[in-house]
Amino acid sequence: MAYHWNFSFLFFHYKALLYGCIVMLSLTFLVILLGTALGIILAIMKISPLRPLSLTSSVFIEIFRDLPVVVLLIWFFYFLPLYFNRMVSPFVVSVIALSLYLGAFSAEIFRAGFVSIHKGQIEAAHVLKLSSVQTFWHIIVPLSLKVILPPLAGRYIDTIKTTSLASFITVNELFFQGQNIISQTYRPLEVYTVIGVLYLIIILPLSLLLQRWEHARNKATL
Amino acid sequence: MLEIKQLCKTFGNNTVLKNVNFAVEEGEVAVLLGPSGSGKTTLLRCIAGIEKHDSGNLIFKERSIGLVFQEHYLWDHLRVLDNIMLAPQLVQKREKSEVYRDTLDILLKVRLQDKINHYPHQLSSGQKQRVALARALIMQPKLLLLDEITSSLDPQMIGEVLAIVSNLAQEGMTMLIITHNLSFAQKIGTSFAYMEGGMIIERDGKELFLHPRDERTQRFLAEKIEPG
Ligand SMILES: Nc1ncnc2c1ncn2[C@@H]1O[C@H](COP(=O)(O)OP(=O)(O)O)[C@@H](O)[C@H]1O
Ligand SMILES: [Mg+2]
Repeated sequence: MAYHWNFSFLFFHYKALLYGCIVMLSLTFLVILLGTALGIILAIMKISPLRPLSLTSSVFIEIFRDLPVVVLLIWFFYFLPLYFNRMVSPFVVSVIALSLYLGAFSAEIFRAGFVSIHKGQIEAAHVLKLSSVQTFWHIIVPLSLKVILPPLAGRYIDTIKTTSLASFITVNELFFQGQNIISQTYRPLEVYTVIGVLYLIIILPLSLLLQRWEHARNKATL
Repeated sequence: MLEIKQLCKTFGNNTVLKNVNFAVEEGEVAVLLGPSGSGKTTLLRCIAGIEKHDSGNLIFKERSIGLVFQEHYLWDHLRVLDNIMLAPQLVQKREKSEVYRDTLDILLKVRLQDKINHYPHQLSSGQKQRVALARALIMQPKLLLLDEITSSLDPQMIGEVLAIVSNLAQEGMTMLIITHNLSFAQKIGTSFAYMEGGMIIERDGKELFLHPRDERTQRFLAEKIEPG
């Protein structure tokens, strides 16, 4: 390979990259927070015996699961300012679009977790007069965690990756910062290499942590 | 203590309870007999409030009812200790240290004091069912409902669970018990009811075994006592 790798110029851009990391992480954090809350609500609606609730939830989940993320982002990018009749920052647009996306996917994960619990364990709580909220937090959530957590953590890691698509609507997260640097330096290979490494630095520990945790948990309940 | 009047319950178009009248007095150990599908479980579930009855009255002045099911339904993620301690702390808002002391007492009663830190999956079926009993007892129920609590146990574990129920009866616990174990029923029961087709066919003391009046009761007992 005749290519002459040169990373030294990136030292002049470390602030931009760092800033990109911070934006990416805050975007991820907010999306996970809101998307998870939405997912739980959608899952509860979906298993509710009230037909209008479960139907609304199903339709919602289907739509947001089927659309490509980029389409969602761009659509909301144009729609939200129109709807609110004012500027909406691209960051806020991405938080909303990505949360809806994560919400739809995690709803299915939560639903599967909740229905995996034996009805008798919930009835036992009912007989002992635990309130629905107490039953939810003390019984349903911890019992279903074993089923929920592995795919949910996978989704969370995926969310980190998906934030890079926010660059399409000019959110200056890591990927966007990288493109900026490239437009100044014309060295895409080095820039993308470093960006790749930065993603790995963030995601790899999480991924390993998840694997260890799953392993420990499987051993504990066998 | 518990009074049931004209209780009806229908699932779809299947009428499971037909005008059930029933009562349990304080200190009584009432045994409910009947073939499977006769509505015994449904009646207990209505009393415990997990099933809503369609019509009739269910009068229970004391608020606390304990129910142990055929399956133990322990919460897998909690140790024995926490399975028992959860409800009194959350529901009765009792002091943790006080609940802990009571839990130790009750574990002694069900002879599981050495299993306090075990998870349900580390226990035998009989031990799990005894934890389920402890979980009900910690709430100091005025009425304890037991629905075939030994039916899904390995035979060698049945005795240890029944021994605890006998002790409870001796201590004066008011109970309503569904069981297919007639010798056990006769040993601890103070009143007996025979149920079939969603109706209480007849109700009596120990007489029910000696001189059942209704021919459906006679047939049921004859089959049970002389199998084959
Ligand atoms: N949740 C339910 N939905 C529909 N039918 C039920 C339900 N629970 C019980 N049944 C019906 O009610 C009848 C009585 O059941 P059950 O009370 O369990 O009787 P038993 O405990 O005497 O065997 C049965 O025919 C059963 O199929
Ligand atoms: Mg039954």
